[in-house]
Amino acid sequence: MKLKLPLAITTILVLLEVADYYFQVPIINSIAKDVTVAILVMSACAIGLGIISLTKIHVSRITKKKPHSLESVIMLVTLAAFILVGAVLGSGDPSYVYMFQNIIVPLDSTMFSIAGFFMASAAYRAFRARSNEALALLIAAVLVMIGQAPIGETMWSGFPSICQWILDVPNTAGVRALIMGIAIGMLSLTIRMLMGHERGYLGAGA
Amino acid sequence: MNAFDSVWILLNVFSSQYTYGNFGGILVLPFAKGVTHSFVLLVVSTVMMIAILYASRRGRVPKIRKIAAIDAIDEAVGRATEMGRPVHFTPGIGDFYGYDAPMTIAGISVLGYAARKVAEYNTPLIVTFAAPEVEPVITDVVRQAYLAAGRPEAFDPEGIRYVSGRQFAYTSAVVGILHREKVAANLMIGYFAGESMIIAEAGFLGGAIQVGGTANTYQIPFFVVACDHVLISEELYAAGAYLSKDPVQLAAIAGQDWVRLIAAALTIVGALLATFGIPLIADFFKM
Repeated sequence: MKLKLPLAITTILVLLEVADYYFQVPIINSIAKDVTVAILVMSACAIGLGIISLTKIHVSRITKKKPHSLESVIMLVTLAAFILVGAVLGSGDPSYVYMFQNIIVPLDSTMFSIAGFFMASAAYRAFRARSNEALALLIAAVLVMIGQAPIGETMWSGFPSICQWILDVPNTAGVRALIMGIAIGMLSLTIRMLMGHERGYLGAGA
Repeated sequence: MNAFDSVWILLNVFSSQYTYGNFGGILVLPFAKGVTHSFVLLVVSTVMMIAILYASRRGRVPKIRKIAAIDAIDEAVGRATEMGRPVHFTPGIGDFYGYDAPMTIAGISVLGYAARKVAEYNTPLIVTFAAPEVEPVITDVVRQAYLAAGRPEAFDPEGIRYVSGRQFAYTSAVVGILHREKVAANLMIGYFAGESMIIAEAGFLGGAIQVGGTANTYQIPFFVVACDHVLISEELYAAGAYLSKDPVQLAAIAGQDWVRLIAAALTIVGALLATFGIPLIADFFKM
């Protein structure tokens, strides 16, 4: 029963969503819409679960005096401050907006900006021409970079056209092949799940 | 009106628009416009995959190629064990609904295998994720893996960590864990977006052996340059079947390859026909 019930629920919901996508039958479309809303509600409830889990882990770290427990204290204080201000004053209140704009937004931007530096270091490693494939990658990357930069067109008017050709023809062909494989792989995974063969997500003992 | 328009009208002929009915004992469902071709392909692909799947039950088990990135998981866990440092696994920022759900499920399937290996070798395991709804599933999968390895007492619930629902808060938490806890093996298999490069580079800088896998085509190049082994494209979805060694599941992978051959053939024939002014296949995809 522990195995059959989740499989039955999965099968019914997958078939419902598939039918909703392909057919215009009011009753199916309406049930699918309700199910989507129910899933969103469940996800919202799961945030509570996440907060409990996060709190348990960090409280345990502080009480066991594990290394870096000061970070755990900061995390719990910030979490409590956001919950308190958001719940009491509302998420539209100027103080909540101020906290959000001056804590979350800069931190998000900082993390995202790191990606630029990491891209450069990863590209440096990837573009070392140690094999024929790496050499082809290096040449294509250099041409695309020159073609995209304003200096490329100044150097030679043909660079933007070469860049566009690389993006439109070999790049698009490769990406479409990947997308095709991904779509078919997704279908195969769904069939295996619906037939009860793919049970890895239900636990190793399933 | 072309031949495919006629097919679409035929499919809907017994029903007035947006209604359905029972005509001559046959239930007729009206198709949404523009998805009929996709439905036909779905049915054909599904029938093919199921047929090959059932053929395997009669003993015809097809061989599938080795997936190096999956085999590398054992190597990664072994290395972490030798170094006495933890293994980190993350299924990314995906949850259980929408485009990212299949990637999350595929990632969790691999987690079951990795957790069992980790339990067998008695190596610490850290699992991080950004969607709180996956926590009960991940906890259960890891607990079951430890049970299956015969070491239920070694399961540490503190290793299962929901860190944040916000993409870059999750990223900074994972980067911190990789550095602070000196992770020796970093397995990133699931749905990843803009954080993929940051996490993979942080793992590289920390000296971890890394296996990456996602079906998000924008992020695959980042994993390719930053990871030691990568599950590309449909390999992610094949991972669960490959690891299970179940003949029926392996047959489904072979069926998937046959469908891919058909898709490639349709693409080539369609391009050739369109070149000669016959838009037959192009019209089919407009149905």
